[in-house]
Amino acid sequence: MEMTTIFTNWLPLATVLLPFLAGLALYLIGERKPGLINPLVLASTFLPFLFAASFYPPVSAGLFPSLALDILPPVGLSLRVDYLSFYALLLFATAGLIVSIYALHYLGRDEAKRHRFFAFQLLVLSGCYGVAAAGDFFTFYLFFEFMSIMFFVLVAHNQSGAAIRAAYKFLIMTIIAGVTLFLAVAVVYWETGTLTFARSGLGLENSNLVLIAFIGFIVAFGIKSALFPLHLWLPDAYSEAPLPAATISSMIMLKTGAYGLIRVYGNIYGIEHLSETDWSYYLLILAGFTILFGSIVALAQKDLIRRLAYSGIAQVGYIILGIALMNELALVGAAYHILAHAFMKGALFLCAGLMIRESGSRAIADLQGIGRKLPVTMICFGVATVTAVGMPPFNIFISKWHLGLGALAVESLVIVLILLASSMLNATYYLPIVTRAFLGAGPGSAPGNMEAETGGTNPAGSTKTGNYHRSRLPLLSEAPASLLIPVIILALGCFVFGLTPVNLPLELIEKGIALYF
Amino acid sequence: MLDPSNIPAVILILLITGSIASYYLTCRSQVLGENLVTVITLVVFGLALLLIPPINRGETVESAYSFLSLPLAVSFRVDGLSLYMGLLISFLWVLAARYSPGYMSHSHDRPRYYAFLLLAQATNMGVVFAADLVGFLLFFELMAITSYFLVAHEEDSYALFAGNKYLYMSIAGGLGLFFSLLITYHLAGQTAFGQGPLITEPSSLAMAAFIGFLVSFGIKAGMFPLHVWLPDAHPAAPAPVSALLSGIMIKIGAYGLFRAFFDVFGVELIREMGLHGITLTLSVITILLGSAMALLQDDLKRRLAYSSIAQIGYILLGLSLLTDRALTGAVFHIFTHAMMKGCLFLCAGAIIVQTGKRKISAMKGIGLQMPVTMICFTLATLSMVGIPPFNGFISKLQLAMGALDAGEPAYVFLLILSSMLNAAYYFPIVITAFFAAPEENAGLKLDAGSGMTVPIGILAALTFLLALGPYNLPLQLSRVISGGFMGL
Repeated sequence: MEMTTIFTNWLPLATVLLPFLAGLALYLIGERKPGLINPLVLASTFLPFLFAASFYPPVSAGLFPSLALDILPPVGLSLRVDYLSFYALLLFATAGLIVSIYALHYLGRDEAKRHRFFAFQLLVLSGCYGVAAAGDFFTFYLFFEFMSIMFFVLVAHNQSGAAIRAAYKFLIMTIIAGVTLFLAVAVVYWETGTLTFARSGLGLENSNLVLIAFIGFIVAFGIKSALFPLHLWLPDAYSEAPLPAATISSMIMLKTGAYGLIRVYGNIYGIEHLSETDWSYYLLILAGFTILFGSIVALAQKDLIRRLAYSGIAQVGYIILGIALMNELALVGAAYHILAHAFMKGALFLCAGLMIRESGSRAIADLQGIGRKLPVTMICFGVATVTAVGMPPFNIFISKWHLGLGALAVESLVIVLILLASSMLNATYYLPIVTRAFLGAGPGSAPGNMEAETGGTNPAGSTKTGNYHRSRLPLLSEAPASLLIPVIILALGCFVFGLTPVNLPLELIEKGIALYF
Repeated sequence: MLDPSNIPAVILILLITGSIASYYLTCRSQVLGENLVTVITLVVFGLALLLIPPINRGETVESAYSFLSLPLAVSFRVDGLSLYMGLLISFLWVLAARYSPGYMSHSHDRPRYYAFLLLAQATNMGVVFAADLVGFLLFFELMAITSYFLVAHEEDSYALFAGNKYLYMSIAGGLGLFFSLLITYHLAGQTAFGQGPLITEPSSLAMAAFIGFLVSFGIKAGMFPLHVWLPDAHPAAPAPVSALLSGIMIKIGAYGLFRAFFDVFGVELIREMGLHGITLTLSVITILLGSAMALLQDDLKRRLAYSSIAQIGYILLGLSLLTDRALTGAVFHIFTHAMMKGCLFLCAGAIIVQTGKRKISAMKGIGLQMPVTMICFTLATLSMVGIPPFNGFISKLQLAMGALDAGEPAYVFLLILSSMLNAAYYFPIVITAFFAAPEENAGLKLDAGSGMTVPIGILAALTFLLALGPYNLPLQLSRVISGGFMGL
């Protein structure tokens, strides 16, 4: 095991606290001073991003910034940014910043209760950052609960009947998750007297109580990361929540469940201990089933957002699968997939937002020929799509490579075949959207073009002149930069890490996972 | 002077930047853009020629740098087979680029077409220059995506249907290769070519890897029963793309199988596990089925497409016989078929552009209207049937010798039978074209402009010209490649 050192640092706390305080402030004064919303949201997502990035030099050198707070005795709160925490924190902070920039424009000034949405978005982000930076499971639990409950308000934002129902469904399942997680954490604390993430395994003895705690962890994180059959809240919540909220859930919140599970396996039980039991085997089966289930159901969806939602269920299944395989390669693949899926699905969601904004419909059938109006958006969508299929040099190739090798390490060809089948299904439900956006609707013949040209409903508000001769004026009907740049950054994130001479996130993950073995 | 080890990277960078540049230039000025594309392909061909001297000295050109990090870095390596394929690719692309302006003159979205034409070349060159399976997979997958836009370019319902079939089967093929790549890496700990066999022990995992390779490359090559995309994609694509698909891209599948046979498994393991028996059986079915189906087609490009299936069967047959001369024949047939089928598809394209005719039954007297095109067509069909001194004769002779070396004279009869079928479905076209009275426009001279006829003429000349001289570079290279693989 590599030698690591810890030093006290207040920046992790600032990272978590800043969006929290900004969120509170926004909720109190945002309605009276709507002009404050944009600068406040930008500042309180940009600074945490900077703070998180500033941890790179010490963390990569094996120095973990940490902070112990003597509140809430007897356990106390602690923050600790080790390899995996840093990886998750920077990823979440990046995603939070990008989605916030997009959301500020997407939910424009006429949005009802705009200040409430952004206030709670900041609170959710604060919870997410706290989950990533937590130094022990108690702290993790508090932030995890906080994040989940705050998200309720985002789901219910539209206040339509369907939105409220979806939010209730979400809330009920969240509460179940919270209760089971509390039970599990309590058992672990009672058995070992500590909950820290600083050790690879707390030395739990096998007993029924410990098994129940394990099941509690699985149920709690299974609900959060939409593991079959605990995924029920997700499709409704995604299709009713405002698009940026669904994006945050997909990019960050689903991953907190997966991240928590990695912590349970690596830090609480210890890989060595779990390898002696067959508990993980059942999780493996569930994960394999989740992958196939999510992919097949996604195929049947005609609504773009619901298709993305079910695809997300399948993709998070990969992460759970990698964790349940319990070997180094598979765990690296699982952890890398957190990033791979965040960028991929984030790009898809934000692109979907722009497509819906242009076409005015969420039905996939209405998106024919949209690539001629939104070439940049659809190229980004296409990049994310081939990422989902797992083609090199895109990110998911890298995670599938590790997952596949991890499956071969336990001599399971079946799991490799499940991954392949899911990739093929990904291709069949994503690629047609792209190919039909670009091909089969010649210039000027795209449905809806006539209406748009004659100045029909155009939420972008941009003036469109002439026809869509995209070889000359490709950007005319594209969304404004504040919506397009987040999309482009996410699409670039789908492959840049594999192009650089050293894959930085992968390097960090390998160091972090190596501590468990 | 450019160091040979950098040439593959330079070629790829040139093609990718050239693709972007040509897109913008073609948007502004059609003629300038088209000329840029031709110039880029010519430069690439020139660069590929620079690789001949080191290979002739018996060296392997290995790139000093590696690129990307993926899970593994990607690097380039040029041996005899890579060079052989690289020369063919870059040569045929020059002709296709030169031919395209004439064929595409009435088509839409030409900037997109030219951009993807160059990108597709980049991916093809990448596949053959890749130093290991990871790089191979990278370019193989990108090839599927880029060539999809070429296949579906016409955007009518038939092209979209054919393009989708091609795309999804290609993706399945890519996943099959990924599967085999994982197993190879799991067993060997590396995936580099030219290090001796990567998999050395017979095992069920090795068998699974072989099946993955077979599915992946079988789809790409159009091998029975995975050929189903081919008879739709070839006719639906624009003619220069059909020529490239048939001339080059299906050979990439064959190239992959060569690599799988000799760099991943090695001759001994293939023999020990009896894997060549599987490909042997499939190749026989592929030859017979392709020829028989070709007989039934009235659409000229569809007939050519089925003929391609039969011809790829020859290459697989030569590979599966596992003798030196059969392998020489298989490698040489890649060249043979690229020239003659390239020529035939370009001729078919010229006929479509000039007369709008696709049906063979409607081509009565077309040889009198388009004499240059149809004379070239005739030369290519003679090579197809395997009449000396055409290249087709040389490949079939080598294959027949190889079959006898392997102690399997039955395959000689298969070759003869297939040649007769070739004659049965190609000669009627020629006879109809020259000896049937035209139904309309009898006196018109309809030959296309030099932009289209020159590439056709060059390909037609190459179906026999090299066989006449003392120095037959493709044959010589084929012998060296085959000798190297068979450990001679």
